[in-house]
Amino acid sequence: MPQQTTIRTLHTGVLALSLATFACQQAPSRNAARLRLSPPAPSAALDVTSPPPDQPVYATLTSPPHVPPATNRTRPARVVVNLTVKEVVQPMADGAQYTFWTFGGTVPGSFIRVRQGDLVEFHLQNDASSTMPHNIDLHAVTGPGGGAPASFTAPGHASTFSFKALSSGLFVYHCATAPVPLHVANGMYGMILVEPPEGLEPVEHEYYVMEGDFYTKGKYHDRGLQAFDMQKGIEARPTYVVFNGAEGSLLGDKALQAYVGDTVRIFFGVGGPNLTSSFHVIGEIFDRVHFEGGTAFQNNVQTTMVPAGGSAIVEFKVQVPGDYPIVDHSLFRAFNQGAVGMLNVKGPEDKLVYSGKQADALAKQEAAPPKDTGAVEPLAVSTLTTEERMAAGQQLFAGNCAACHQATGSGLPGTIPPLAGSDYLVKSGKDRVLSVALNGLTGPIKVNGNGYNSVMPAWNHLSNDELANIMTYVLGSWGNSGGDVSPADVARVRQGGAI
Amino acid sequence: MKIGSLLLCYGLLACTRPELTMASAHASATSTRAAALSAAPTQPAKPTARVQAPSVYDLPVALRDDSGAVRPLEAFRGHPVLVTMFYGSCPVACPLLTSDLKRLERQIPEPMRSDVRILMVSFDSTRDTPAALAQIKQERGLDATRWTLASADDDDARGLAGVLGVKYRKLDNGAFFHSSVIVLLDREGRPQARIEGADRDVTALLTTLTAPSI
Amino acid sequence: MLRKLGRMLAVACALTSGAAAAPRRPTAPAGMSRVGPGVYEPLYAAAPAERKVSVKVFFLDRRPVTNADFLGFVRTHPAWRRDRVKRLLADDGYLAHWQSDEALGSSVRAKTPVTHVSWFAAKAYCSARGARLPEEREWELAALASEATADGSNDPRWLARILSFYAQPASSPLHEVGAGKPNFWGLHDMHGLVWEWVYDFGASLVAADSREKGDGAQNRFCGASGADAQNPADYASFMRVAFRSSLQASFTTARLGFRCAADVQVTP
Repeated sequence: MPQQTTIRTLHTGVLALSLATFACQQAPSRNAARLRLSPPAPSAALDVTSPPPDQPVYATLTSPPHVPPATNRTRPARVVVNLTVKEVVQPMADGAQYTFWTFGGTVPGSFIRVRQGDLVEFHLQNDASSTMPHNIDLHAVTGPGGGAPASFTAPGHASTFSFKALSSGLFVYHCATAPVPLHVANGMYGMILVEPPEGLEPVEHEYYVMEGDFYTKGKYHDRGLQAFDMQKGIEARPTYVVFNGAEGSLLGDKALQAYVGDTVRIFFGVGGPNLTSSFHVIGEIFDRVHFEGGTAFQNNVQTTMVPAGGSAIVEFKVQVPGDYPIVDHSLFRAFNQGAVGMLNVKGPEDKLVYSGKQADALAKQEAAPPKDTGAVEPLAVSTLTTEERMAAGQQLFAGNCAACHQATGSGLPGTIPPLAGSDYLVKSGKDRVLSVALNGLTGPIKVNGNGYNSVMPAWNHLSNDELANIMTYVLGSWGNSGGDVSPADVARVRQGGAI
Repeated sequence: MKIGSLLLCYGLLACTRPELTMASAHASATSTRAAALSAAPTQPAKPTARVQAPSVYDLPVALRDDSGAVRPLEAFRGHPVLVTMFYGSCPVACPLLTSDLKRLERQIPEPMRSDVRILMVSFDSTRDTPAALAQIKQERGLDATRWTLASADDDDARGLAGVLGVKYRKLDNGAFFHSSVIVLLDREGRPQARIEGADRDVTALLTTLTAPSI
Repeated sequence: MLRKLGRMLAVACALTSGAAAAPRRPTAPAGMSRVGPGVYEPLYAAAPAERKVSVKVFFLDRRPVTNADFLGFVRTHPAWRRDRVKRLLADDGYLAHWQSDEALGSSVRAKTPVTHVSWFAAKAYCSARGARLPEEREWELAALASEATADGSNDPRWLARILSFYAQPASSPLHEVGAGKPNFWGLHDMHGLVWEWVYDFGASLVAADSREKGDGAQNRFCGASGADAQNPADYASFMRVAFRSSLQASFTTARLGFRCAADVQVTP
């Protein structure tokens, strides 16, 4: 079942995180945190006041999780928005359906993108098959009801009103027909982005995600068409808390995608009706958060709080491939009610930033404790004697290698090959051995007549000097015949790639 | 006032008819059916063609005016008409409506002003007899060459309210709760502009009235 | 006007003759049940005095008007044919579900409630039968009844069933009228089949008197006491009130039908 896989993935992710914390070097420092409170002073190019030309522009609306392209406008336009309300039966979870009331056929509704200063001509249609009248309150509208009274529409009819987008920001819209909580609880919300006059910085990916709480008479994962439960709604006891209207909407082949080095921007909102979200991406730090969807932003945020009927714009650059769960960090919601999605990042590894699991061993205490539990003292490069290298290497070996190969160099029978008296070391030669240390090794090998098939991780995050010291120590210990390894050797092999 | 009520009020504000904020070209008194509008949300849709609103004279309404004469609503065909609905015992809203109309009347230039008719139809035919209406006309100093006060029986009043988009409720004590609406009909009786609420800016009506297409 | 006069005369007669003999209990016209009298608490009290509204006894159709019923009416009143009706009185969705201007077609079952009819059309149909549309207060009083009692608003199971009707998807087809058990008054399908026109639908929510443009407006508009958001019973009422207030007299929709009412004439 997808849900169990996801939970296992979540657990694995948490475990990996905790194991990896000690091994990493510090990531390069990000921008110093700064709180910017006021927008930059408008210049002549940032026109938000000219009257728009008569010729209208038709807004491109998108279904979640996609976002329309930037408007690329430099002056106000007359923008026509056509949005249709439809009541549809769609899956809520595996085997469970729900009658959603939607803007544009989806939960959340279509994403609208305009620019500050635009004059928006809004056409709201209520599909003839609807049982209820509907309207729309856009938080971007300054005016009575946010447009609700002007857009109140009976089934099979249409309403038109217009408004000026006075303020930039990421705004929620929702139906405001009585009883309002019911309409919102059935999925009638979406978002409208009013770009600032200068537009948003281009990024590789923009995504649209909204969280909502749903209240059904049945229990979580009960099968069949689920009915709305008003009592649960009043008591704020949801059955489902999901992104984009359904459990699994951002999982599996519907996960969000990115490539190493990309910057991802998520336009995130909470439709409610009741809950506030603690929005977090496991394994990522938000480089920048326009909290509450407003003008000011904060840097280096782990989890951002988004109220019901509110939003946030989060941006982060992905640096390491893997699966990054998107969650409401109110964890029971993520694990037991469906508030989890996924961001898949593909691309080359960066062990410096995140090494992945480096060792999976029993926590044995018999091995001799390293003489120095602190960091290895930085030694001057290339001027060490062999003895000095041996001494330094012994410390480094104890801290990095002994966990697997043992302090005695004997390895673990059947699992980890020995280094002491190893014919593999002798046959490989210095360069090959250095290559193994730098790039890791997988697959079956034979050492001293015994077969081994384990995973040796790459140690390319150690410096040339450190590896030279370790190698010198290995080659000169436990009866091995000796051999000098210099940092230049390491550098050469590192550059040359795996042998 | 309970928060619950406040919130529900907000939701139910939706019942009021949209106020005319754009130029009269967008006649909001009628709405178009959405049957043809099935475009997927990601496709930009063409603008909906504006259909001319049908004439209110298609509905037979018998009006008994302040002189006692009974005439059909259609008798006003041929003139632009500013029409509203009210009741005589109304304490505040209707006097405000009257003053809105008088304010508008003053601003209409000749020769249009002589051509325009102003019609106030009462939904309280029980108390707004011809004599009562005549008294109101005199008290408020309404120009008889232009103003007609009339009443219609329950059925006709409901029908007229239906085509004008006026909402009203008769209370058990004989008073009425009602929306305040002024509709401008062209010479063929087709609604061309409307404003909702009393004591409002009448400029939009004036603009449409003085447009050549009226 | 004349009708009103007639009604006043009938009542006057009844009052003067009341002392002489006990009035006969009027028989309901065919297809109608006697409803009320009763007291109804509107969701939105128009004034403090309106928090409880009394409803006189009246007759109401036991079931909504069907497609077959309405077809019969259109045949005898051709002004209400789909191809001849005035656009002022019915929008272009009028009887859109019928196969032709004078035939239902095979996809419309005769005994399902007629929909796609405007207020004017419904009113004309009822008039032609010598009846009328029910007032909102009459309809709401009739709808308040569960199967067992005149006021079902304290029966949580009945309330839950009402709410579950609104969870039905829009795509589910309409079933024939008269199915299921009748309510306390003998009425079928007051909930869960179609929305129904009432005579004064335009009274559902009225913009406040302009003097209350300010802080008072919300109070009068919404009723200081009538609305209790916590009461599940009100949710169904909210939806009906909201639906009615979205309508105009010429509107037609796929889920909006009607039934007729009649006065109870107390004859001497």
